[in-house]
Amino acid sequence: MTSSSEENTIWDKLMSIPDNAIQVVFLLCMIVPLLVPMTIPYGVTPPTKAFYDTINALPEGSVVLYSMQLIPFNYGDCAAATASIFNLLLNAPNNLRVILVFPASDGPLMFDIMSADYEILMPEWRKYGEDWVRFGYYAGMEQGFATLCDDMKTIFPSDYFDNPFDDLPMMSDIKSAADWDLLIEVTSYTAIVDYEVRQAYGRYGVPCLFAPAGMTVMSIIPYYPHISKGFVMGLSGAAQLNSLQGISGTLVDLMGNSFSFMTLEAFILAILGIVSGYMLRHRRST
Amino acid sequence: MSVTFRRLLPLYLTFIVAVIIALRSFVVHPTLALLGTTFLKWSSLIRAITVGLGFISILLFHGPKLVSRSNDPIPYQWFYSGTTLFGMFLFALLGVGLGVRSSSYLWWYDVFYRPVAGLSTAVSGFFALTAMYRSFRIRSLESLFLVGPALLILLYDAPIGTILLPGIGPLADYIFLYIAASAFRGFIVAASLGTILTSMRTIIGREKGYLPEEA
Repeated sequence: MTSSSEENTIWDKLMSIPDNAIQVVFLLCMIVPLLVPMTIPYGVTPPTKAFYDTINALPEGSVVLYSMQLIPFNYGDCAAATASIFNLLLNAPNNLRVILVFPASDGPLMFDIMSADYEILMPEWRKYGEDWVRFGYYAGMEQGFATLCDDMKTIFPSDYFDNPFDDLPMMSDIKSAADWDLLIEVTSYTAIVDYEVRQAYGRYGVPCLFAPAGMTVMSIIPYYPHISKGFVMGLSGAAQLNSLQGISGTLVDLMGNSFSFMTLEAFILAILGIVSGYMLRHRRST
Repeated sequence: MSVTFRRLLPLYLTFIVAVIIALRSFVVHPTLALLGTTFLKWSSLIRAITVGLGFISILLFHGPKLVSRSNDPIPYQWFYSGTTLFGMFLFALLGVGLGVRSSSYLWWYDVFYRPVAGLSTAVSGFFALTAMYRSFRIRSLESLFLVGPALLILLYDAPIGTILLPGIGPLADYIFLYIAASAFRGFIVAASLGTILTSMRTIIGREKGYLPEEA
């Protein structure tokens, strides 16, 4: 048994911090940056820069299939990236033609919610049906996506607003994955990344760019930087992408600040926990 | 039902469909392409129909628990079963009856489903944080290799991370590009070889797990 003086060292105190106190600080780290706007600089990582450059380097009028697996569970981490990438696609100087699809049934609804929460910078000259088209949810995961690659009209006989496929001017020369120049996926589900690489890149040679949630970033690492030239990692990547686009003062920045503070607390706690644990073990052994 | 219909027919169908879908990736022929695409369409339809099967399955599981006011396996299980069924029927009726873009469906989705679904993820963050504080320990060289990169990527993931510690950018990129990539690629290659072997066994009828048991 250790003496009472030994039990009251700073390491003992650190190891006995109540869970509630840690959680309250975590809550403050989350809320305060949302309520008090701060200008915190962002470092842009090479994968985010490569993501941005790849989109801007596409030839004029390229076709981009933009797939978003937005669900309530990943909304906090993925919605900001979804908005930031959509803004980039709409405002890129190379007049990209953008096709929106959703591999999750919640996707179309969550996209509307995302559009209300985050600012979508739609240029006036961008015409629906000519510059961008929104389809709905495709069922069947890999089988559905494989069919989408082969024949888009089979999966989507009409768009999300019930306009027939053949009435959309932009789709007149876009029938299958052979007509896509780039595939972008925002997801927190690793299987989607794998099957898109198999079907779109493997069968049609379509280059891909991924925007995984922070927790699933490792799922796209095997494909980086050869198949996916870059990647945008969750909320952090969204804040960086906004910074590259010169967009500031948006909800993405506020959430990025909040995320920075929460991560800092987690990082400091982890270091303190490791050091305290080591010191206590060292004391016991001596 | 005879053995022919219960076991042989599914085996032959599996063989024919799988061979056609596989062949169309290697042989360019309009008939093969048409058949392959048709089978994939059927597959998508079957996947969509499984949602209906899931509906029935949930009903058969939770219905009796609600009716018998069951407390198994946890107290007030009947209440949770009832809530599940209420949510399922509510969204099914609103979605099928009024459409998923109707204001009623959107209202219930926004005030009922979305907050609950988001909350279940958000709450786990608080527990994960305290668990991390109590459990992150470096007791050996191996654990140092595990915890060290984890902390590095944690900070790298934050927008402010590379500003506070500029050195972590190149280090994290090195981990991504070389260590993690090679490990994950090895994993994918191994998993792919396993998938190919299982698929081939299924095609030639050696893998029969999906068939009903022999009488």
